[in-house]
Amino acid sequence: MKKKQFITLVISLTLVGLFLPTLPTQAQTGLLPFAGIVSFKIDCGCTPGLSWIWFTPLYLGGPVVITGPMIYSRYSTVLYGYFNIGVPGKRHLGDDRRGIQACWIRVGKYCIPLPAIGLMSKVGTN
Amino acid sequence: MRFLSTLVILSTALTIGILVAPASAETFVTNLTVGSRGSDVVALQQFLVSKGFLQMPVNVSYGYFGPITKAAVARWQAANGISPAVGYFGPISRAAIATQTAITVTTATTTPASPNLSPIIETDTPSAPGMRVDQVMLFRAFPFEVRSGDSVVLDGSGFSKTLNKVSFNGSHPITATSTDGAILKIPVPLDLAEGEYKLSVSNVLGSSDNPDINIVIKVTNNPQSAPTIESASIVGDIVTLVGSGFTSTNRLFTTLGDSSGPISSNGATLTFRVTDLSRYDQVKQFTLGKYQVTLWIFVENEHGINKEPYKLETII
Repeated sequence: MKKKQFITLVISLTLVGLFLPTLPTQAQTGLLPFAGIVSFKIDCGCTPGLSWIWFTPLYLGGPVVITGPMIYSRYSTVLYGYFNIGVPGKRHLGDDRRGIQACWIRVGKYCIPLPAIGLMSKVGTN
Repeated sequence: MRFLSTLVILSTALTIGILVAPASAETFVTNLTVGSRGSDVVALQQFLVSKGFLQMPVNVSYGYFGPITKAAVARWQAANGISPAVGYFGPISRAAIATQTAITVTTATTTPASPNLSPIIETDTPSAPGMRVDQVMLFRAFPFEVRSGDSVVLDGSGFSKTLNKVSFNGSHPITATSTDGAILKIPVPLDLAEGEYKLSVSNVLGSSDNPDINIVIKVTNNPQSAPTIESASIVGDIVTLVGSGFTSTNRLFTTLGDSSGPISSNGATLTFRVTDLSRYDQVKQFTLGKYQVTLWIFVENEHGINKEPYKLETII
């Protein structure tokens, strides 16, 4: 009987152990990490207080290093030291909500969402 | 055997519990004072803004508890009979917020499209992600060309779940409700004559009117479709778009910048050089041809602009 109990315990713990590591942080927070160096910044004309910041390189945690934009909002992004948000040449590290399009710019008689990779949730700079 | 069964049940429950349990709801659980930072401070500031006790200055970011926030907390404490009303957000203030039935401080429901664990304030006028919480804003009306009676979708922020008034050139008001604060679907009034109309939305937060931004629709008996991009390819630096609704005077707006002038089309295809885009050189000076980039493409002409940008991967 003790052998059966032991085997059952091992199987149960294995089950827990198998599933636990497969829960990515994203599933719990919706946030993914990013890091990069600022190339330039554009203010979002139709949504004042938001900035569209281009990074080269931009690290998103995968094997491919890319270049591209992220959005900073002074209304929702928590900014940490040294507060050099969007300053060309400054390193940024933080997390973001992928796919949120919050930067709207003026185009002729329209406003359009200037696409970006994500909306920064929190970010710190050097 | 009973032990075995219990063990299996407990293990399974633990496993399932770990898998399906949502992240714990974030509420105000820490004391906040001058110098505090983080999502709790953002939530507190959003709450104070929504209740009219705080007006965040231009160029000041949410998330830092400074003297302005302290003063706003003190005003809110005084208004709610919390003593001492000195701007320290401690257990008494947290309890007071929790007991205010008009609002609920809770964690946003996590959805695949827009997951968010930041504490938010459940209000009648939810703001779109990243937008200020105390303002109704209108960004877009789609489509541009419509007939009277057609439906138009408005994108914005701070739309009310219960009552919005949408005006056309300041008149012909209609009422509408939004489910998420970011989208309104409205009918174009039947009594609108042909012409262009500036739209505005007003609700308890005020009016979306902005002297710098005119969101317009064109009422016509013969509406034309806005451009649509169905496919795109890039060979060298030449991009070819295939779609419909292109005219003889199209303009491009992309993440690598705009076209320098109008681009003509036969109606179904449109060709341009990626190197001609206004921000191409600005980006290229950093990338030197080594990086993957996503080129998002809008095409605009006299009939409107495609609602969703077309995505094209390339190297720059």
